Amino acid sequence: MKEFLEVIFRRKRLFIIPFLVIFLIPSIFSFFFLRTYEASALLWVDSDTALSRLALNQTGGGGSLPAARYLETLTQLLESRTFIERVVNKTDLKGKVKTARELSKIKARLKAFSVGPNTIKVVYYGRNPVLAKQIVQATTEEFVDWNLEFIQKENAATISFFESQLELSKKKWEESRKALQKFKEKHPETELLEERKLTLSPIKTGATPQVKLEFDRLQKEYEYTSKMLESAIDDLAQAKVTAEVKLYKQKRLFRIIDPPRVPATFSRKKLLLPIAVSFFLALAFSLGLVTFVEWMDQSIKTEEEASKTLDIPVLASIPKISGE
Amino acid sequence: MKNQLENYNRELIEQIYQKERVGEMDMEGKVEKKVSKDIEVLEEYKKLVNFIQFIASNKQYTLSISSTLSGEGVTHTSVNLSKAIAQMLMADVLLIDVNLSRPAVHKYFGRSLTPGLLEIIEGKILAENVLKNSELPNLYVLPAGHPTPDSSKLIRSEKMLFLLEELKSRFNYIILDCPAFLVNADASVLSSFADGVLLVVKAGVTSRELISKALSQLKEREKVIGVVLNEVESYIPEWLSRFLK
Repeated sequence: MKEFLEVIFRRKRLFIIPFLVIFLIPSIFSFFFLRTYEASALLWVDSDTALSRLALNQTGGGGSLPAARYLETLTQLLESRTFIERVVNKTDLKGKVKTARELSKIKARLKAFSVGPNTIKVVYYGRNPVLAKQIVQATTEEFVDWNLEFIQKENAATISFFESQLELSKKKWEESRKALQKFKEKHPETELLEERKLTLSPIKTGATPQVKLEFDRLQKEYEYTSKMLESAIDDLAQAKVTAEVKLYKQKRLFRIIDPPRVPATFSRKKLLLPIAVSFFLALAFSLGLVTFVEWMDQSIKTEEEASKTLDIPVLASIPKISGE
Repeated sequence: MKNQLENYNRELIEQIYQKERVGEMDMEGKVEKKVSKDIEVLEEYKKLVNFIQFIASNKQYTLSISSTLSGEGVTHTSVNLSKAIAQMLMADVLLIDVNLSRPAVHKYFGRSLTPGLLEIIEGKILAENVLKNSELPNLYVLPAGHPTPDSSKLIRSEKMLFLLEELKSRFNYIILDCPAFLVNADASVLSSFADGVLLVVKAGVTSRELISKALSQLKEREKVIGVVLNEVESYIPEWLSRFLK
């Protein structure tokens, strides 16, 4: 350690000058030319609604915190090229970002993380403060819209299913009604059968047992399809109401509690990385240079060195006196 | 006893570093700091003097001091070592400037370059008339003299050897301030006239390769008694040094 320090102090100029050059030039350049602005928005995810719980179950999250689950969704969305394109199209960059590389750059600067059980923070680091704000705003809006669209599509699919069920029920009911009508026309005596059923009087109908049996079957089928039709109508109505409620609640699931603003000052956090990198590079280079020069220098500097390398004894080691 | 030793050290320091200290006496803070450094220097010279005394074994001893290249502090070491021997051993010491290409010993003692060694060898003047003691009664200094085109030849000649033999009978210790081995070929010849060779190595300047090269030029390698590592610097600040201890 002492020997190492001795070398560093002896070669202090050789150490300090390259160190300062390598450390200061990139640091000053970063400070003046690589200023990064940070724009952010804070999004509140409501956890009280039944819908949010439903949404959690849909994404397979079970009992996890709402922000965490939606953060996962948002993080996955941020990896999507389409989503980023939609975000970009909402900003001044619309039509300007053409290559995948440019999109990747935006993707890399856009981050989302949870800051609490119900809050998601969306952050963008960019050289242009206005654009940074626009991108964060567009991202939060797109995310909310995406969730809304998701529910709308889901609702549409549910309603469409119940509508198809209703159509099927209607068709079956119509078929059974027609079959019964046709049978009644063919066998007028069935009218007396119906009357006897209603009055419970012992009227002689003159209908054969086969006619009676077929009439009963057709009548039961008609009653069954009628009930099915009523049920399908009810289900559809209920689905429509549920969809309306889901949509209403989804619209209230997210709230932007901190809307993005145009950052007034640049982010100091982002300057740390180039400064730290240049510091370590400068340190490594300067130490390397000192080591190399020391290795190249064949001169004898200390008594220990002289004793080791020369085969003649060192009788005295006269210290240098300043001004000598 | 401790005070006596401190006073002795201080006097010796002032003798050795007379010039440097005069200019710094008014800077109180610096002087205190410098004294501790001076004591370190003194201790190193004491070690060196003790070693030379040991190898001389109470006999006359001629020591040649040289380096690989010029400017490594040979004259400085020669002058300081001569003073230290004269002070510590109370012996008669003669310091001869044999570096004809860059004579400098006379400057340390405020003397003129001539008359000196070359004039004695040439027979222009007698040694008794040139040899004068310095501020120390038992330390004598012989400047190089005025160099001529034949100086190198003269200094390698038998006359030089005879002169040295004559001087050996009068002085306990003779210190030869020689030129650098790799700069002037006189150095290796002069080293052969001495009993021992001391190599001055400037810390952080002299390379191992040059030292090996210089040693390879010596005819009698076994004469090299050791190395004086000169101008050794500690670069670690004092506060950190204390912490590391």
